[in-house]
Amino acid sequence: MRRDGPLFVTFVAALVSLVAFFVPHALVSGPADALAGTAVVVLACGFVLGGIQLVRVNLDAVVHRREGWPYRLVLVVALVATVAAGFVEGPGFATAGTRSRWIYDTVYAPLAASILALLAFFVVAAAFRALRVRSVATALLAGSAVMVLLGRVPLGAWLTAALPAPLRLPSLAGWILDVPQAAARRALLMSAAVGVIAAGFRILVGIDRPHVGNDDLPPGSEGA
Amino acid sequence: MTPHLSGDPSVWIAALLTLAVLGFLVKDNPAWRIVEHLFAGVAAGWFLVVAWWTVLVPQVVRPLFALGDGHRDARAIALALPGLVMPAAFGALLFARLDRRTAWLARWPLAVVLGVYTGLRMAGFAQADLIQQLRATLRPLAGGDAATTANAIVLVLGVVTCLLFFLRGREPRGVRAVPARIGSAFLMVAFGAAWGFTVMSRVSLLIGRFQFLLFDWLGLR
Amino acid sequence: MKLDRRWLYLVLALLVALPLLAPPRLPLAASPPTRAYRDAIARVPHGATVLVACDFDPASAAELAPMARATFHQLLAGGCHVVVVSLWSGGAPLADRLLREEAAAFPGARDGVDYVNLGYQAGNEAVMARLAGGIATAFPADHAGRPSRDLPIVARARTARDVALLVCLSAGWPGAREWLQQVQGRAGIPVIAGVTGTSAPDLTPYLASGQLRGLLGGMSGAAEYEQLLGVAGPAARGMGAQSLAHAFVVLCIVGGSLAGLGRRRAA
Repeated sequence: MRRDGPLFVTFVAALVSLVAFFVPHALVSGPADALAGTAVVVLACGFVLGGIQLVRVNLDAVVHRREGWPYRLVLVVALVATVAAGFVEGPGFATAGTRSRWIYDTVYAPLAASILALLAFFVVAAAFRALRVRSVATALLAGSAVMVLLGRVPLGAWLTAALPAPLRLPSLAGWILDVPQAAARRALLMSAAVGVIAAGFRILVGIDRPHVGNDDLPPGSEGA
Repeated sequence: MTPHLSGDPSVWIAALLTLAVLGFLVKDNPAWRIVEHLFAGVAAGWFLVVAWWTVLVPQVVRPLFALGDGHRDARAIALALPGLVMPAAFGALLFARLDRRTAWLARWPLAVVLGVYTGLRMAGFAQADLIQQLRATLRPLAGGDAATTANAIVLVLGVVTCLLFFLRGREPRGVRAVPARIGSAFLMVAFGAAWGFTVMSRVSLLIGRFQFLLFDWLGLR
Repeated sequence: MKLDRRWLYLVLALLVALPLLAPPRLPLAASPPTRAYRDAIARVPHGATVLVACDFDPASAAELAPMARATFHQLLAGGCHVVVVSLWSGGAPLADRLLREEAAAFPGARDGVDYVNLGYQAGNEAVMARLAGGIATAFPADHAGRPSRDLPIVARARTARDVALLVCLSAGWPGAREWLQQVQGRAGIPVIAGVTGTSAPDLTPYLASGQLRGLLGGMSGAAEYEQLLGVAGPAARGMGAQSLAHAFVVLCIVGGSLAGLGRRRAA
């Protein structure tokens, strides 16, 4: 029951959600909506659970003075302060003028933007150290990258303004994106779709059971 | 161009946090470690608060309390209860993971999530990524001007050879390797274009940060 | 002699900062996908409801905030009713600020009647699937906590099928691709998308097949869109910096390849 029950729930939930996509009748869409609503609530509980676990793990490290404990204390204090502010503000916690919104605008937003902005520097270093033309394949890769890099900014149009329109960098970059790149992407999409359908079928019938484990299967048959 | 420094303390805090992050480029330092953990704490706290007020309260807590407010008869309560009990019960079972002895109970809510998203993704991928893309590939190649026809031929050639590259199995030799090599060439062009767009994206994020520092903080316009 | 990468960082920082202070005048022409995005919005009848999914957070605001701002501007100027939703928990307040700042330029536009931010919902594809049953079912309360069912704008467009256009402004997953898979397949409504540069190549097959009617890709797409609308926005102002940074990356590719070639020959 510990394994079969959840497997049966997965089967029913997957089947109902799948059929509801193609059959809009209330007999199917009603249960599908109820299951979707349940999944939404479970995911939200997951966020809460994640926050609790984060506090537990880091507080334990602070109490036992493990390596990096002052930084972990910063994490815990920041988390608790953000949660406290949010609970005090109520349902409109994210509207302009609230303490939560101040934390979002002053701390969360600039840090999120700045941390991701670091990647600009790392891609430049990667361009110098890693993206080197050594073969026909890497020449195609680098050539395509250069065309797109110059063709998607005004500099490319300015550099090739004297050429006929189809030979200008923006036109070439556009052709690369719309034809060979789109062709390869389409093949990737279709292959991935077949993979998702196959993997989904395996989960639906219980061959793959990531949430309950494969302990009861005979050895060597987990991938069957 | 004279700087007009912002008088808003929030802007100064945001600017100093930004500079602390950018300081990581020089070397790893305590200021970077502090803002890194500050961000992790604030982000986790934000996600928790958002989940509480936007999902749990309007969809579980408030409706459950409303059932007992005395304005509904027994029939109305009986009709509404199943729709509320299921999400509330499964959501509560997830917290069983907090204790190792009861962690197995969390399989039930995870089973619902896994089942729902498996069904949704199978349908979505089949319809949008497989059938629609197949239909778009199997269109008549001729019709329109020469450039459109040529592009359509190249597109179909690219799709077919890339699929052959993925499905080639054992490495083919001689003439039989040609289609897969053509597919490989299409893939290299695609990855190069993707990398170019990724560089563009990352540089844009840096431009955004510099616009904040130069214009909003230092007031250099 | 090995080059310390911090010199590369310094050059990049200068090539980004200096053009922001003294923007070079470079021509900017809108690409066909950008024109198609603008035209798709222009075709929406006056008074129709448009669903705008703001699936991004401050990390991608540099690319997507200008797109969102310009999109809200074109929609409100065209007399459309705008319903904003978000499936990224870090995105709803940002979308709220952008929507209200643009709506302030249209004094006749009323919150809850002509535009509304229904905020964030957890659940990704499950939320998208619930839209078929009702927008108020999927998003029971708006960003300020008001019940969605009580809002006139939601009473007017009850389900996804009642929406004239879906605009997906997305930074990744969940995003435009998931909206196409879950909503367009069920409701059959036209969809356009504005995405980060990283996501743009992934969506070109959908544009080619007609599933997407228009596409803005990255800050350059935002800049082209701003120029089409005649709006002076931050994306267009950043194109000089973008151009020089890209030129530097190209030089790094060339320089790195030549350095590698020299090393192989010496060996």
